[in-house]
Amino acid sequence: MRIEQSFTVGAPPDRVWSLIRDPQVMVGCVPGCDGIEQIDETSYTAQVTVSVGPIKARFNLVIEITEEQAPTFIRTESRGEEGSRASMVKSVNEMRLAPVDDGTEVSYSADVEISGRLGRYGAGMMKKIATKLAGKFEESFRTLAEAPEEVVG
Amino acid sequence: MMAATFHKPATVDDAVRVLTDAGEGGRPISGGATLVAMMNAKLVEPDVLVSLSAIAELKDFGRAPDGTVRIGAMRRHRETAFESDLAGGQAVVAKAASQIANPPVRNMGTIGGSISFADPAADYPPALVAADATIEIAGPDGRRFVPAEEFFLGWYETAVEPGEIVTAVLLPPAPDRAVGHYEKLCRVAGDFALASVALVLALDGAGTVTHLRLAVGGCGGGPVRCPEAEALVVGAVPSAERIAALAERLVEDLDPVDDSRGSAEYRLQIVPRLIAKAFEEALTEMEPAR
Repeated sequence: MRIEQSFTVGAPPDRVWSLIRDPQVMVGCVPGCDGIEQIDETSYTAQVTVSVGPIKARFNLVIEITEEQAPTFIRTESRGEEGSRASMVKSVNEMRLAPVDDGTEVSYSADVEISGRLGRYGAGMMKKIATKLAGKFEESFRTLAEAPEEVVG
Repeated sequence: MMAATFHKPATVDDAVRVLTDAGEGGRPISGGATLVAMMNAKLVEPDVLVSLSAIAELKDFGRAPDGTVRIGAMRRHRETAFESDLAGGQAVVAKAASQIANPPVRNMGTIGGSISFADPAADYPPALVAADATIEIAGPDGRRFVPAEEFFLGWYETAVEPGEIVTAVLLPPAPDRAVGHYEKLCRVAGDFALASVALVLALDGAGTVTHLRLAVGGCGGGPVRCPEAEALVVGAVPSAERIAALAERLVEDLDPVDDSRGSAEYRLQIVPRLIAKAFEEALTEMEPAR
C-alpha cells in the first residue's frame, strides 16, 4: 500500500531537517516507537509497536538511508520482523522538504508491505490506520519543531 | 502457545485490580466469541486472562423509574435480542443484537465484549449511536460514562483505556411512540455488514418527524451519524425526496474502504437504499398506532 501525505511546519527547512535527522526526536514523534539506535553512518535499528484492536505487533526494524540531499530530500528503506513471529514489514520511504511562506512543507510517501498477523486486515483498512498514525506523527513533530529551540533535546 | 494465567474475580473492582496489575499482557474476557477465535489463530496471546463471567452485576438487565435501561456488559446477544422490555425506540438495540453473526455467537458473545472489540462493521455500534446510548466504564479511579458517539474512536479503537472494562450500556428512554429499526446488508447470512443503518424515529399526530437519530455502520472506522442530514427530515413529513436528501448529505461523511466484502464505491451506492428501506420499515411499524 502507498501512503502519501504532506503538512506544513512553522519552522525553516534547516531546522526541520536537523530534527528529522535526530534519532531521539524521531523516537518521540513516531507513534509506538520506543527506541532507535545508530548502527553506522547510514543505518539504524528501531523498535516500533503497531496495535490494531487486540493485536499488538512489536517490530524490530532496520532502517537504511539510501539517498540523502540535505536539507531537502531523504529516501530510506526499512525492513523488520516481529520477534519470532511470521509478521514482516517492508517499506520504501521518501521525504521532501520545501520552503514555504510560513515555514516548511514536508511531503512524504511510503510504499509499505505487511504480512503476518497484521496482514490479515485488508489493505484498505490498514491504509486508514496508517494514515491515522501519520496524523499523530505530524502533530507531535509540528509541536516539537515549532517550540523554542532550547526545549528540543 | 504459552498458557495464560486465568482469573475469575467476583467483583468489578477486583477485575480492574487484576487487569491493572497484569499490565500489557492482561486482557479481560467476557463471552470469548471473538477473543477465543483470535487466540486459537494465535493472533493474540494474553499472559493473563481476566474472566468477567463471575461478576453478577454485569449480567443484570434493568429499567430505572425514569425509563433508562441498563444492559450489563455480560448480557449475551441472544438475551438482548429477545429482551421484551426493549420496545419502541430502544428496540433498535434488540434488532441489531438479533442480526449479529449466527446463533452460537449470539449465545456466547456479549454486548460489552462486542463494543470493546469495536469491529467497524459490527451491529451494535450504529444501533447504540441511534439509541443515544451511554457506555459505563470502570477503571482504577471508579466509573465514568461516555456517550456512544464518543466511545467509538475508529478502526478498532475505543475510549476504553488500559486497565478499564466496559460494565454496562445505558439507553435513555426514547420519545413516546418512537420506533427503532436496524437494516443490515451482508453477502451471506451471519456475515459482518457490508453496510448497515440504525434509526430511531418518532412522528407527531400530523405525521411530522419529531425525533430522528440515524447512524451508519460498516462505512468508516466507527458508526457515522450526521445531525445536519437528520435536520433535513426533522420537522417535516418524511417524504421520499426528503429521505433521499438526507441520504445524499450523509453519504458525504462516510469513509468506507475496499475489502473482500465489497468496494468502497459499492457501499456508497447501497447506503441511500438502506436508509430508504429503514425508513420504510419504521413507518410501516408505526402504522397500526397512527
